Amino acid sequence: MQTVFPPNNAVLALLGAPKQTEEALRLTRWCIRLSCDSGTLLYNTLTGELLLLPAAEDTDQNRAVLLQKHFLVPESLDEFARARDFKRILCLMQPKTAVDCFLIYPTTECNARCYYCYEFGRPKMTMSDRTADETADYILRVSGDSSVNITWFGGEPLFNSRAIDRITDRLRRVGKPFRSSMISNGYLFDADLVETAVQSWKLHEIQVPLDGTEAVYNRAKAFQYRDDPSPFRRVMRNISLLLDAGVTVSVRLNLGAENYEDIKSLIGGLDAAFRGRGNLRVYVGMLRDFGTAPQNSVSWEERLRRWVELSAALSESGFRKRFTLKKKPNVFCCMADSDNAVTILPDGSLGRCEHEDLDESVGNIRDGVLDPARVAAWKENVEVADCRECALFPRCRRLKKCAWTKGTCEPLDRALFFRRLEDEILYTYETGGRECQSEDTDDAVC
Amino acid sequence: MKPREGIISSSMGDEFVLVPVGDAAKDIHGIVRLNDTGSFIWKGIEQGLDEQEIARRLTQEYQGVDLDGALAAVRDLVRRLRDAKLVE
Ligand code: SF4
Repeated sequence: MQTVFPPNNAVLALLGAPKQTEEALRLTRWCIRLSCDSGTLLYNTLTGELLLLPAAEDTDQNRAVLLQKHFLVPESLDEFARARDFKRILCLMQPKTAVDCFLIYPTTECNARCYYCYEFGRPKMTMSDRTADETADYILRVSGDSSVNITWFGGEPLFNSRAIDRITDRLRRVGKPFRSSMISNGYLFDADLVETAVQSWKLHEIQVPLDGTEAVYNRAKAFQYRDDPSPFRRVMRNISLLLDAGVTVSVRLNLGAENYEDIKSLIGGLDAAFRGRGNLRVYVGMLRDFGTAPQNSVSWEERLRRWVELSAALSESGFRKRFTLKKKPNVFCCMADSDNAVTILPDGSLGRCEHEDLDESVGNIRDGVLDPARVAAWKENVEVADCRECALFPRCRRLKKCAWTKGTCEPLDRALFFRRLEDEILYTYETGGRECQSEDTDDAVC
Repeated sequence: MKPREGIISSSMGDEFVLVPVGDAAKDIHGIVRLNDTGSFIWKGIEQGLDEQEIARRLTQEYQGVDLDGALAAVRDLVRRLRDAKLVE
């Protein structure tokens, strides 16, 4: 038996040494078992340890070690209660940190009108110069000595690049270290703006959604860009400019119920245009049913199959980044339950989640957080009946208030979670247990 | 007598643990596990009770424990918790 990836020491300390017992032993519920070329991989989602059991090895001889490593547990152990306590304590153990991640909406206005957009019906607001200046002051006040990460969000953030200029100017003038990323449809860039973004905004990463091949994309955008014969080409040109400038571009392909074949063709087109560009990532995101774009006309099994197939094509093109396991256990789900992150709306309201802020303000940039109860509510996790038997439970962080999961656990989400973790396990094994730097891009469930 | 700031107390499955966090974690290394009686005494300390009162409640909670024995157990644990800088 060989340890491919070590357990987390803090987690082991919390669990303590397993007690010797006369009781019958069973495999822990938190074990994911996968076959590989040299035997069986066992991954413990609680301790984070990955073991390789060579095919020829007698597992009986390994019982004592497997007990010691929490892979075997006494028959009567209530693992669920222990894992639940464990997750709670892990959250409490997190050191208090300064707020150093800011998701800022320069505007909620947008130049595109995507059919799946969940922001329909939201009030349109644009950040004023004064609020932009106060936003910079707020960042300086709450971030202490930390270097700061800003994500520009919207609406379309470039629709109010003036606010981005003002905020970053002010930070630069006082020597505050920062860098930024952006979620943008990519249309409004040109060579000059790319240069400004890299030099002044310190843009290092951008996520750009692409909804289809040229004809499909242009048809969807025809209403907004009446004078442009091909908005698609313009976005592709801008992706190229951003790549040339050293920005990491994550292209998100929105997979809905109807566009599987088109997305497949789009991957072929991206391959022809960008193969070998190391700073381009492409991933398939599942469109969700927000009432604006129902996705349930295709079974979840079929949607999963399509996702797997498209993701394999992206891996083949070298566009899909693979990740290894991480030593640090999952403590937070996303920015909404993290203490070091906050969202800032165009009017200066503070929120927790980029999808909920407009009616879920927790304070404002002038007075800080005013509603700690609302902040705490964002930390509550979903628990469904299946969690008791689900091997993902120790790692799973799903927020009750999340508008996407709506307090449930859909089979598709769970299957995608498993797929991703299995890929991390295999990739860790393939790379000999090395831990690669993680990135936050969620290529499965967003 | 009160728990030192920065000590999280929690059940952990069928155990009860004391976990130092923040500044407390700098000079307390490791996690302390308490048995049933230990966790009962700790909860008494958290409620601000003195040793006498915790011992009296112990005799009510556990059958066959007399007050002298309970008080000795409470004093012993409190001393060890103080030595470990978990109580001040
Ligand atoms: S994936 Fe679903 S069933 Fe599994 S632990 Fe998470 S919420 Fe529970």
